[in-house]
Amino acid sequence: MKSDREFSILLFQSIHQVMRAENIISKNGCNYQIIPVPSEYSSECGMCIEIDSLNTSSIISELQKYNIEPKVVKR
Amino acid sequence: MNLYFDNSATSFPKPPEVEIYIREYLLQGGTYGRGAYNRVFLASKRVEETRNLISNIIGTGLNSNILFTFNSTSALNTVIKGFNYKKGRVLISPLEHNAVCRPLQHLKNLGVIEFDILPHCSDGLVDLISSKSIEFDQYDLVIVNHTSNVNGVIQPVSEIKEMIGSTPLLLDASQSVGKTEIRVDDWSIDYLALTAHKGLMGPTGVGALFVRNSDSLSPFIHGGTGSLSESFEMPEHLPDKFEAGTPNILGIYGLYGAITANTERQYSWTSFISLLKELNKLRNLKLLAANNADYQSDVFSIKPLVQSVSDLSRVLYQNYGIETRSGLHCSPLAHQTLGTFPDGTVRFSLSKYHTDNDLEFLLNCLVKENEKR
Ligand SMILES: Cc1ncc(COP(=O)(O)O)c(C=O)c1O
Repeated sequence: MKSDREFSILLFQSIHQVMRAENIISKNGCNYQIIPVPSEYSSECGMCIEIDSLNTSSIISELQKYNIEPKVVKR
Repeated sequence: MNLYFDNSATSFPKPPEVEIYIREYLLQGGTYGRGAYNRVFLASKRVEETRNLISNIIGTGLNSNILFTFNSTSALNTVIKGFNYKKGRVLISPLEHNAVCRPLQHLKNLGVIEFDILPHCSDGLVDLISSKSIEFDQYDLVIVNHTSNVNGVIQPVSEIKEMIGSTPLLLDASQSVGKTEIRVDDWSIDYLALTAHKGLMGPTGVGALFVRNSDSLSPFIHGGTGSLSESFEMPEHLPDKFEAGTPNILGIYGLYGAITANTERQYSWTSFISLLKELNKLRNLKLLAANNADYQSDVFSIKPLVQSVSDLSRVLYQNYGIETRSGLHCSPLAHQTLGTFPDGTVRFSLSKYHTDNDLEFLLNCLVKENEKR
């Protein structure tokens, strides 16, 4: 059965930003997964964060509080 | 009994947590970034946690501006050689280490800069009153060794920064970090270099640089960062701009262990100060320490008056097992300032693991040696 969940991918400038964001998202209690950066999007760095699309805006506004501005792509 | 008195060279013993975390990394593996499996995630997370611990220790909220280096020397070189000099003049404190003097001399030989020395008191403490007449805006950069590795003098950093105004300050915190309070944000410090293996009691091969304004420096080392890999140019963002190449992850794990161990000093400061007072009474041994105990760290030197420094260091080791370092301690400028150049001194530097008993033993041995002459 095909899942109808949609995911967003958060892309960061540096691994340092990925780790800061992961720390914040994990405390928020949302589901997320650390995955390799899909090559169709970027060569930016090894890791990015995949989240449920439904949570995108709340997570983004939380990250903004810490001056973290990832690039968001929908999958 | 702990007779290792060369902690300014490198601390020993290390807190047990250093070994625990180094072992954890050896069993776990994984590089920093540059992949997305769990091993990499865990290693990268630990590196970032350690970066945060360092930012707390030096008193800054700018944790992205903490850059891992391989020691203080590479951190100091990053600033000194990456700085964009417009006036070609640098001002340094009188107790600088060769980690500062040699890169400066190199730039001087190339015709890039000249450097001058701040006025000072007899113990090398920067003389704030005499310094008032200096036109600091004639200088590109001021460099201050926070704590001397020769006589333990702690410079009044916040007063110095206040005095020099907007001229950038590079603080060499090699000997002070982990021992003396550092507040880079409150003191408006522009650059700070530190090393993990001395006062922080971590392993060798790790250091850090704090850079307030990263546009002011060009990278010292160019290479892979795992970011913006399509470009031959270094990234402009922090920390990647200054972190080319795989960091010393093993060492960073050890540093994490050292910092989180939170080791308490076992000897009392009063005992240390009274040790210095007793040593000051000895006729054949000249004590080199701060004139005012408020500016004293846990390092001091002795100049024997009737034997050579190498003989005293050797006798202390052979007769009592006391480990010290004699000579110039890579700081010819400090010894020139203190009048102990070119022979140098015998240096004693403490660890948090020393006890009052160790200090008493040291005093008794030095008293005995003083009486033999
Ligand atoms: C004042 C000072 N600056 C710089 C250094 C260099 O430290 P590292 O050898 O870890 O680069 C030392 C260590 O000897 C030092 O005492």
